[in-house]
Amino acid sequence: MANKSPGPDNWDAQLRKGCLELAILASLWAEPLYGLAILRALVSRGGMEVAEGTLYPILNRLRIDGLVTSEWQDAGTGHPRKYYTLTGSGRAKAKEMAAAWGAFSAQMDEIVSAVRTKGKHHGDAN
Amino acid sequence: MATQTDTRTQIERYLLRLRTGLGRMPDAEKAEILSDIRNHIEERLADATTGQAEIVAETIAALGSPESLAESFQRERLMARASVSAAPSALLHATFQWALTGLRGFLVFLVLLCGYSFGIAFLACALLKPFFWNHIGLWLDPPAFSLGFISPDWHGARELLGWWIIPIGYSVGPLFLIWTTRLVQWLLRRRSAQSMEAL
Repeated sequence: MANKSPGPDNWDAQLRKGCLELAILASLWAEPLYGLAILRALVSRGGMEVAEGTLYPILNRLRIDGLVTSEWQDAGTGHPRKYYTLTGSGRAKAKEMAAAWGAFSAQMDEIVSAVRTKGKHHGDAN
Repeated sequence: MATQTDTRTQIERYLLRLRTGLGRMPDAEKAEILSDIRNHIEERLADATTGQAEIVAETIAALGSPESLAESFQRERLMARASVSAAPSALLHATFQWALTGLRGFLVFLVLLCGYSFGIAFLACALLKPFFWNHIGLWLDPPAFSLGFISPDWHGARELLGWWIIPIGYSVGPLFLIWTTRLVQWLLRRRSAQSMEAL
């Protein structure tokens, strides 16, 4: 009965999904991480909550594509951890995607600036 | 102790269902995926501040049902490499996987095989014509056409192109290979996009 429009939520989900590959590659830019650490990095660096069941299929694809490699390491935690590392082509791809994202977000910012400004004026008492 | 055994059983049961859901994926890749998921659950357990049973239940709920997780793995695999790569091995692998899922995939796989076969046959004819000029060509043996090598004992067929098979083979062969590759790449991308929409 909740009168909540499904449109924007669905759009938001699609948008996040589309950006997930770049977000995962970017999370591995500075250092190799294991699965759970990637999820935490996405939350801590960008507040991006990613479903656990979404991360691993994407990591598997990135591995097949040769963009990441994985390696078991003894992290001193009592059980080994599988660390994911960007490969050379993974780094190149991340750079390329980040550049495309920069251009795209700048364009979108420009386009939606009118909406933002209008919304602000509309809500303001002034 | 009983709870810990139950928890282990629950994890193993989840992984077993996931393994089944992964279907005909190569064993090495299945093992890789299962170890990823097992490791993830272990990692959650190692961090546990509450009871193990709760953590396992929570993690399994967050991962989704084993069947839907397996489906996500399958779907992502189809987007892998072949959707961007033009490498014949990657395309063959991706379309073969698709063929295992239904008639449409089978038809795409067939198109890929036929396209590649024609492309290679035209190129091979162009290449071999100077050496086996009497036996290589496009043959008409009504009502059938055949492209390639014909035995000297077979007199029923008439050769149609003569030496023209060389320039035609060198131009049509690559065209077949390129257009087949593009078409299949497009079909794979389209399927991936549809899969993403269905998510």
